[in-house]
Amino acid sequence: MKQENYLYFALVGQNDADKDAVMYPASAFRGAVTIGPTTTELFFAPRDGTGTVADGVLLTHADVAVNNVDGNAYESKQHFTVLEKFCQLASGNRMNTNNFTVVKDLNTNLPANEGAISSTGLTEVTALTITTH
Amino acid sequence: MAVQAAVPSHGGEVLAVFIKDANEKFCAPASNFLGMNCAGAGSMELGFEKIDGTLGESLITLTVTDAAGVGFKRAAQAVANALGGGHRAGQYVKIADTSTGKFIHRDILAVASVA
Repeated sequence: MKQENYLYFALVGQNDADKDAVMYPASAFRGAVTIGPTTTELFFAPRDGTGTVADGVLLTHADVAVNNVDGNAYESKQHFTVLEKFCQLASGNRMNTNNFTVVKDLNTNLPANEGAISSTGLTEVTALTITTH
Repeated sequence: MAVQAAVPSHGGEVLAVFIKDANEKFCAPASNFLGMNCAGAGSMELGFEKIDGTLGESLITLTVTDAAGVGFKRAAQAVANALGGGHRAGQYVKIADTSTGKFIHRDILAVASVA
């Protein structure tokens, strides 16, 4: 089995309620779609094993500035930046790195200087909505 | 002289083990891991594909240290590291054993349920 990479997401607060935090194998990633100027959603194979409706992690990020070339807000840089960084984190082709990868952790109680435990993930992302089944 | 390589079990991947008590135990290959979520303060749910091949999940619930979510995150990291392949290929990894009080990380406190 190829070494798996596990992707961690956590909401703001103390992660003490149902679905406050989730972790998926990177191989469960099904795709991503831009929802609006400030939102992009990542989809994963459902954690309940039913294989039907995907779990989703909606990322809220900085507003999209209208693309100066074609005026299409949905092709401008913010979406690209968030997705590019997510792909870099999710890639299994990262030698000598921890396989516990924090994509975004909004918990404000994290200790300092403890590697992945202290990591808050993508700086562009300001809010998360986790939808599981 | 040829060097005989060790033949790992189950095609070389981690077999994760959870033991609640003498009668409730669970073992599955890491590739069957579907994901994990917080289920409440100090409660972690781990989903694995059902071992009988039907749709749905086998759900393992662990009791973990709460610590404002930090204990939960530490336990999640320990689970990820334990499930990861690489140098652990072929190993039988007992992630939590309540019957003997042995856990891979101090923030994993018990196997609450195996279903």
